[in-house]
Amino acid sequence: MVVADENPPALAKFLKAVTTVKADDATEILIGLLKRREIKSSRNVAKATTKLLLRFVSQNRHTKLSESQGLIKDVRELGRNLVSAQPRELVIGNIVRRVLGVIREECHDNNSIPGFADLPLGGRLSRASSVGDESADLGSNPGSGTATPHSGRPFSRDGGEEDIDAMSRRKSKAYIPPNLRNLTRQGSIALPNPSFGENNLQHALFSLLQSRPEELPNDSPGLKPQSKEPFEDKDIRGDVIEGIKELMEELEQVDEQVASHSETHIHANEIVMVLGSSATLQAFLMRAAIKRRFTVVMIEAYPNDYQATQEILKAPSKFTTPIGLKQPGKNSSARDEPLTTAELKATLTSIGVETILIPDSAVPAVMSRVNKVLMGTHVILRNGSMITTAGARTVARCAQEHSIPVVVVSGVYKLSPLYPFDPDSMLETGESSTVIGWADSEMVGNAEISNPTMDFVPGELVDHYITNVGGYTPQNLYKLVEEQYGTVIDTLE
Amino acid sequence: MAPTSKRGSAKKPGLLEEAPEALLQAVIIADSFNRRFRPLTLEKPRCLLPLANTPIIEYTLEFLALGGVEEVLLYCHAHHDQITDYIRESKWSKESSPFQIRVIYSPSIMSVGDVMRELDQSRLIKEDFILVSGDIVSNISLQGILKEHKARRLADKSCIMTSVLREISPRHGSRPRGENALFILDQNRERILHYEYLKQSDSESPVLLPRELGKTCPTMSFQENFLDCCIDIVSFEVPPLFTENFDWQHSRKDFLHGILMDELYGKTVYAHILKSGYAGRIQSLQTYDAILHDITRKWTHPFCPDTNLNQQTYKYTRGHIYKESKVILAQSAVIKDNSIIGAGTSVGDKTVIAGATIGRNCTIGKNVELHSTVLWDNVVIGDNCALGNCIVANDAHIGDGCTIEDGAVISFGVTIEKGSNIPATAKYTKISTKKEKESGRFTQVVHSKTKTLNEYEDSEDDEDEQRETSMGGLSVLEDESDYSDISDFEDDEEIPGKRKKGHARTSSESEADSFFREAYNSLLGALKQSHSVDIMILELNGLRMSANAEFSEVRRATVAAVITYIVSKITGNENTTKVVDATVEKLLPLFNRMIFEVNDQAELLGYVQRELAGKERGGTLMQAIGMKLYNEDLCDDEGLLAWWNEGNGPQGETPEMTKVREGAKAFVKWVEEQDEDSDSDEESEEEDDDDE
Repeated sequence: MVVADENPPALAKFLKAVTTVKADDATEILIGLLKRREIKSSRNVAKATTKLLLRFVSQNRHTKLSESQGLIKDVRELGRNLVSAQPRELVIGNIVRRVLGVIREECHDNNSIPGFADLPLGGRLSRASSVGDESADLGSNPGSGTATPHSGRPFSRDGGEEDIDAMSRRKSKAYIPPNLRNLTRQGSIALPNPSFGENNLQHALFSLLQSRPEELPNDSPGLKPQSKEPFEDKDIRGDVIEGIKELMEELEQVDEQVASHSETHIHANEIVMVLGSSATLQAFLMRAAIKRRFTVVMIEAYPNDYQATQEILKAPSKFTTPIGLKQPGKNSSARDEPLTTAELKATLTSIGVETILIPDSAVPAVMSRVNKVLMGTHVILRNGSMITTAGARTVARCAQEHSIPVVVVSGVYKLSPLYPFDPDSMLETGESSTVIGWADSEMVGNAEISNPTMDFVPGELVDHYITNVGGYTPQNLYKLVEEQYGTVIDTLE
Repeated sequence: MAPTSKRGSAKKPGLLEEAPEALLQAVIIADSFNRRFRPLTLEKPRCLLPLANTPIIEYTLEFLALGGVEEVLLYCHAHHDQITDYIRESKWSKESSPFQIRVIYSPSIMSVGDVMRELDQSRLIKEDFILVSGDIVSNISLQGILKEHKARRLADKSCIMTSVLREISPRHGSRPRGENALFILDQNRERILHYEYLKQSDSESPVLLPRELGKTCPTMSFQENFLDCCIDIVSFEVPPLFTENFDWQHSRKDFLHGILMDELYGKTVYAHILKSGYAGRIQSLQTYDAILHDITRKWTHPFCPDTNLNQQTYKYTRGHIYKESKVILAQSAVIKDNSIIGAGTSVGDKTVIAGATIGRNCTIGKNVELHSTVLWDNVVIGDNCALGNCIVANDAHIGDGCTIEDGAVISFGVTIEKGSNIPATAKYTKISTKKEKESGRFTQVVHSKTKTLNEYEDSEDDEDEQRETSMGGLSVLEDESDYSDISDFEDDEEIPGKRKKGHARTSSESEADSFFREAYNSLLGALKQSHSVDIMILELNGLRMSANAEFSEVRRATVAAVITYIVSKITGNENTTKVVDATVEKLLPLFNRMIFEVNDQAELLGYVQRELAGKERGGTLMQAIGMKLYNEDLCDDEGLLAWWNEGNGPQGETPEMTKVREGAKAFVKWVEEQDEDSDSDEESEEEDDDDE
């Protein structure tokens, strides 16, 4: 396994270009790369997207708090363009939504610091429960987002003020009652309402109205902000960039964080069946191998991983450059293509894990001897199902038949808030030539050949997801979605 | 050379400047120099025709972008304005384009060879580059092949080209018909030892191989089962080779064959045989159909409709069905596998679409059957039609109840009356002749099939069109064996006096040859249009100066032209002597300027003799011309005898030439006698004028 200096060529090229050209051009470049499928693994796509968003936000003209709606709109537009370039790479949408979340959070934080957070609002607003009490809040508002996975709030997709509003609810730092919220949205807030006469409350209202300052009666002395810097002029760019950088760090650390759970899942002398060969999976197994002795049964995954697997069997020495255990995650970033099964096997063998390679057809036969099935994934969907390497569904179904637990390791950035209404449309169909040689005229003219590279695995077939933020069952995954994206799910597709 | 547009010359500092090595360049030849896509290409260049609803050139450019190309030189000829406009508007001329693109139009390019010669002159090439035509569809990554090529260049300086080849079985649908070639490779199947273009018609005839072939390589692999992708990695030494060999037109038939045939070059060419990935070239309607077939079935992934290369909204559904948004389908319409349907298209009741490709904004009526049909944009199809594997171009209108068989081509804007039955291989266009096209007057809408077809065949390029029509349609078996790629240069061989040469040519010889051709043509034209002799002298002088030709070349060309002219004149019953006299008298000043000494006279007569060889009444003419020249003092007895004695031996003379010589025997004998007389008498030769 050759470890390149830093990044794979296509990604490296892009990361280099993105710092020198305008953000719009960088977007076009990335769209080109995505369309040509030059950036291959979803980790690298995520990295490129984050980097582009960083550049985009730092160059966007909307920097002020008051213009945050414009920024959100621009980012959403960018996200739509990127998603349409490769609609089946759901990670792009995930990253864009995460960044949108960061922006909303910043808006909210800045609003709340002078406006809400330090104010004893609770007693004054008629229907409000105490500040910071999210449970009370949720309890008092049915349909506020946590109840069912696919019950969005009716107004959650409109953008506009309620984005901030919803964010503030989620963060539970402040709470605005629904009636006031509605008024705000309609743009006809009743300022002269006698019960809102007090100065500090005017602050609260002021921050609510920040996105339309022209409606504020400027001559009213009580509405003038107290601090020296007006809120709407506050520059949120730095904070948003900070948030995006955190996201980038997360991407770098994912493997290590996931791997830290390995010891609790892989036990001594277990036989683990492994399908697919993501970097996360490799780090996970290698970490486990430090303390435990176990056997790995690898599935060959014809046809997309098949050739590399054959090669390793013929010339194993070519692949057995050992990789330092100290840096399990590092290796992954250095590759353009996802790891192949053969490479994973070679790596594991090099650190002394007993590895057995079986053809796909042998899975049902071997399943009864296996303690656990371990998989990587391409994307996890909000209802607990996932999209992963072709063949996974058969394996998972077989495991279910034998009551063998199926465990999936993945970074949380692969968790998509989308619901699979039409799973077929989420599956990528790859080159037909990997199934059968194009020169084979007998077949090419007469058989219809299709090579779906992905498989849809429903949540019922998965027992456990291990992410960098902990373990979840498919049934509880919606909570994680809520945590990561809030209740505002932007439509990017 | 006239670069019509240069863009992005100082662009993209970030992407390009940091690279310390030279840029990776690619040359696209966006003209096929043939007429296989007529009549479609009358209105649009081939590279802009839609393939799976995306212009063909997009596939080529994407392929180059995938290969990491940093600069693209796009040479175009036909419809260059359309290509320039298209590229200017496309994403490739934006800042974000992965490469700089430069569209170069030159009116003089008529073949691949011309492009290479232009390239040599332009000095735009500094390093090894990628040479492709503008109709490549491929998803292979060039990086590996480039690396291989570079390593080979380091090891073997004589390696000048790496060609990408694919193995394909003989009965494969994508195999281009009538494009067979024999490759002889060494035992490792890396080096190409010999290339032979095979015409289908004479597949029985033996292939002649150079004798040395067996010595250098005891083991050889003879393969005919290659699909030549026409993707070459070419060394910067190649364009100068084309300049040296001005008659090389085709990159395979002439260049590859020539360079390998001749040991003198000492160059080697390597092959990269693809093991995976897709590559194909749209050479004909048949390959267009085959590649469309492969694109629909995802062989060319990621370059498939649902990648939306050209700002589309295609979505993939199982069974290789691609639909854009805003497609209106009747409830009872049936979409079968491998179909592509563009936005804004509406499909009527009970219509069956089986493996058809349909562009944007088409209207398809009720109860229509489309089997592997290719419809471009804005096509209207009436009710109860049945269309086979044919192409219907933009804005065409097919009336109710029409039947169109496999292989037909309906060009832009043609209207087919209802109830028509279009036979296979028929081709319809609105444009009937070039003149009409220029004046903007189009042939009126077709009323019956016979009428259009006639109109189409009546056009100026009668021969070409008929040949086109006989070429057959999409998947109909084509027989284009006698079809030469470069029709414009076919008549070269008819030029009399052109010497058949071996493969080794020095640069002066080739220049002389080109001078000869030009001089011959201009003189003959001038003679036929009876220009004044001064103009001829001026023209000839200009040509001589620019080509730096020698006077002997001038004489050869002049004689060739004059003889052709005279021969054409005397076909009737006219008096031979009279014609000769008139012509030579007229051209006296011209001859005076090219004859200086005795040797020149002899040479001139030699040329006359050679030109007359095999001509009707060659002997009589020889005598008449010789006499006239003698009488006009253009040649004295010394020169005449020098010519006579020089060729007296049998060597260097064909029987026909001897026959010509014999015709002048009487005259020469007479001169000889006169000479002897004058030798003794020291008389002046003026007297001789009277005795004829």
